[in-house]
Amino acid sequence: MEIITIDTKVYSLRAIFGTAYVFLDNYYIFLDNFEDGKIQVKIKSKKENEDLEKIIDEFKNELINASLRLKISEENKKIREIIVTSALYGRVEAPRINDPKGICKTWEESHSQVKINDPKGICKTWEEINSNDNVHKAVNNEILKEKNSEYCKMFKCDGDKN
Amino acid sequence: MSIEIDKINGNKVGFFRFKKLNDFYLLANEIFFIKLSETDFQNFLNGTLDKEGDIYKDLASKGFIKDKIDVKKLTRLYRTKNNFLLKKGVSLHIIIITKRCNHLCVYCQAGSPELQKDIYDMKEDVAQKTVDLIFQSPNKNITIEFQGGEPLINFKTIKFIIEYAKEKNKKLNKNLNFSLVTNLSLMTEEIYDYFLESKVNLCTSLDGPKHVHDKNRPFLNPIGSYEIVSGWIKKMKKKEVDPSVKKIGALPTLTKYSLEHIKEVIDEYIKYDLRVIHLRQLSFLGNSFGDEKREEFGYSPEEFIFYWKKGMDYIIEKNKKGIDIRERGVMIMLEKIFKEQGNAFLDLRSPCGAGTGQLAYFYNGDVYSCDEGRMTGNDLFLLGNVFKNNYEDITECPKEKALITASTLENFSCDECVYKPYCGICPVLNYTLYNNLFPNIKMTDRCKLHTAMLDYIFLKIEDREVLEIFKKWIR
Repeated sequence: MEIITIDTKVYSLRAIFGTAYVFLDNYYIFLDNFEDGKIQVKIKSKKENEDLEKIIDEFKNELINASLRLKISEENKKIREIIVTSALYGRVEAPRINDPKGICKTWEESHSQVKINDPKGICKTWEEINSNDNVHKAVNNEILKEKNSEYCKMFKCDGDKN
Repeated sequence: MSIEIDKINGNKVGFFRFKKLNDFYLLANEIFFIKLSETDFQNFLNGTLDKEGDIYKDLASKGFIKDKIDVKKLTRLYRTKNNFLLKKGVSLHIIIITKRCNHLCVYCQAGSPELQKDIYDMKEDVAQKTVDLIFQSPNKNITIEFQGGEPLINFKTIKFIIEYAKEKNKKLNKNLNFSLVTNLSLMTEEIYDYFLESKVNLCTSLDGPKHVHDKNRPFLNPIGSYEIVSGWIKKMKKKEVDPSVKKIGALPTLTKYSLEHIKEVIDEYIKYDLRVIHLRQLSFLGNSFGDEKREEFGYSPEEFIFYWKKGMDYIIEKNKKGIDIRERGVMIMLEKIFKEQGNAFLDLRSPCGAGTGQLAYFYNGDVYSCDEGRMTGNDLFLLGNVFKNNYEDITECPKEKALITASTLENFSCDECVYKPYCGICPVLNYTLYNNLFPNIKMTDRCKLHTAMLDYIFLKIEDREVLEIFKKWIR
């Protein structure tokens, strides 16, 4: 068994756990509190007589990869959410087929007795919104309204005016 | 390589997942990929890339430079790539028309019962209810695929379903397609003409040359079935048919013995002008695939990958000589990698297609999440019955929601993997092989296999000639 001591001021717990996860296939891994701000990683091979020196080096490299992934992921969380939310926000485009009797309408469309009052165009499809070149404003309205939102900071825009 | 993580400029470096492959770094976001040398990768992270250089411009146009991101473009592309998430309803409906089969294949997943007992055939009342349920799907594209056992044992019900579905569709006007997976042993000229007339796409099993096919796929008696299947393939290939109907497609199932003769298997497909071959790993599903059989006919993922690469190298070599033969698994991945519209192949998407893209209707009216689910016969994948439930009950039941959760890549370490945009999880395999809907994905055979395939693709496209061949495959 080999032991690595990791400073949690340098590497986050999430990165340490993420790294350990990568090695679970071939190694038994145990994480333990060593002293304040330090974590001990105990690594034991599932194979007999394996030299663990190379694995320790691999573990350290993977720790940097995991930290980088976390950093990139955290820094880009907002913009990824914007893209995914924008893409999936609208309701599905209606089928473009000849359907005078409304056979292809959804159950909700066929059974709904209520005409939808939608002055803000919330129920519009993504294509409908996009065709007016307004996808940004309509989909991300709430985010863009916040002058100090991270999105506005990122693009140096004035929320109200954009 | 020296990267100071704290000094990475959060306003410059956009989102990406990455992996080091040989001497380059592969970076991918949800839409694009890019390869960078170690130096360029380091300069990118440290913000020291030449802003007028091609690499910076390429990174910027693909959404890797945060303050250059065209949100509208990426949004449109994300929506296009993941269009399956927006489509309403199941389109692929697999009907297990009978459980009986006249073959005794060494890897059989379906577990054929006694041939004489027609209690294992789908009856007309079940068939009618099944079609009624299929047409409740709001999807405008409906494909009905007949499977078994050997479906032609119950041709009478196949014909009933085709006629009933066509009649029903006169009012509903959906894009209705049929396909049939058969061993061809019970095919007749009359049945074949009927399928041609009804535009039924046919697919058969061809495991390779005679010595491979007959070893894998004997009849119950047990004589090999190669002569019959190859005879029909020849006949069908010669037939003049409506161009909208595929003459015949074939799939090999690869045992340990097949892998040892992988080049001969590929040559057999070339011989019959079957231009697409799918080199698939055995799934090890079903009651009949115990440890003993796995030992005799199966293999480890590493063994499979070794032979798969050998097979792929051979296919590429043939293509370089001008012979058009393509590997289907690679084609699907290439479409996901290169094509704007991606590929919504049910096994390689998040969530997978179980219950959202496909349903499997058993001969007795039970409805399973997918073909793999019905092979296990496990109640976990049994979503309802055509006599008791409607489409909404089936596709919105708690079990279906659990399957969606269990096949959504964001739940797993997959979310950090550079291959996430091209991959998918099979909850049926996970549950069957690891007794867990949420296993450690990195330890699964499927993850090892997909990683090896994608590594192979991204390394191979370094060779311009191979890149052109691959692009031709998906043109």
